[in-house]
Amino acid sequence: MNLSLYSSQQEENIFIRNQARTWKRSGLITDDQLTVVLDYTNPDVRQTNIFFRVIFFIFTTLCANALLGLFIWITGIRTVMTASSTLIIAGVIFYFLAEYAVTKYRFYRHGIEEALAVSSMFLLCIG
Amino acid sequence: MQLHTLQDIHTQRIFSVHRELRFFLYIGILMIIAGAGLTIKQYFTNLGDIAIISSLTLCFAAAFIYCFIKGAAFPTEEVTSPNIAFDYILFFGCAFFSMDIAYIETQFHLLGDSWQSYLLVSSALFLFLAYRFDNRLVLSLALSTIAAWFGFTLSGHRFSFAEYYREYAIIYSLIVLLLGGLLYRLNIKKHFFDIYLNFAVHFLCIALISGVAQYKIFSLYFPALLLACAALAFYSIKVRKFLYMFYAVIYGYIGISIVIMDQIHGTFFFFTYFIITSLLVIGLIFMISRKFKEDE
Repeated sequence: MNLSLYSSQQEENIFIRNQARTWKRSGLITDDQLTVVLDYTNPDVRQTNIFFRVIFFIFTTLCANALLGLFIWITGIRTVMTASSTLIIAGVIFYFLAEYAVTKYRFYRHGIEEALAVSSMFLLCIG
Repeated sequence: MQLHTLQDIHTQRIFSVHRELRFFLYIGILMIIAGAGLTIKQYFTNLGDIAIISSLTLCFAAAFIYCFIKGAAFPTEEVTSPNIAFDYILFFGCAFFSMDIAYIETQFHLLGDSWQSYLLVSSALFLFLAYRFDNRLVLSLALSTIAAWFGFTLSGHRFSFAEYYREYAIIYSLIVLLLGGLLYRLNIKKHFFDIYLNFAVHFLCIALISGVAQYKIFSLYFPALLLACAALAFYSIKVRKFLYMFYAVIYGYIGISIVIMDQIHGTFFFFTYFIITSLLVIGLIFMISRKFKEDE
């Protein structure tokens, strides 16, 4: 049973592309060979560079937590029981949002879905 | 031949340990430097000045001689090091040189109140060595030493450091940027420009943010920060180096948030501000990344 949201073919294609880029940097293959490899191994996912990934992660986390904070402030939650239930429910919602971002927008290590998943796990644990 | 090499890599019959080796070399050199420093600090009375100075001098001289013998002739373009340890040996030599002159000054006070001149001499030497042997690590050391000289010299002679540290940092960053820009224009080690720019950006933005935190919107720090971040974002798009976009977004967001947080009051606006602005930043970065993909 595969629990991953990405197919094994997609994972393999991403791996091959990364390997090919490393080989290109090491001078083992030429630019043309790299282009051929990249053409044959389209993983059909949306990726971004590391810097944008970090920006997406930071600001998605900020947005998600501000949303939760606003909700808690508006509803005036006071008791521990209600607060923990809210955190657990928010964690579940963020998890489904992360899954939605992957299935609908095909994000792969994009920062946004990672921030939602991390926030989800964090809130579930705290809750 | 190519197929065999790639097959060997794929089946992990051969694999790279380049990063690990560099990491351990760096850690090893740092430990040697720390060990030498601690030994001198603890046993300098037992060892004696002559033994310490001569051994430190011998170490850095040996390192520099090795580099001059092994290193290639000076080209203005980027060159690869003759071997993996070369850069670290030069760094080791520079660290021992610093330790040597620091010890001499501490024990004999040769320059007295002008001891900061050692920093300037050291930074000049490091700058020369960095360019001569194409060494980024030593260039960073040179720029840090210039920063130290800048702070000590100005605070010692004219102004109080605590009052004017922002101005020092701003002036330092502009000088570093100009120096880097000039050498870039002269086509001398153009790849070093990123190091100059990194130093300048951090010094400038942290100084400006510190000014914004103190005076909020009522000073030139805020428009200067916005201008610096805009210039950085523009440069990032122009040269397609996303690290600078990252700096521009983070520093710009911190500066703007400090000013707006000062103006808005109330929990509702506090949360709403972060929700709206973070969505705006995400949208903006999405647009930029899409634009880059379209251009490819």
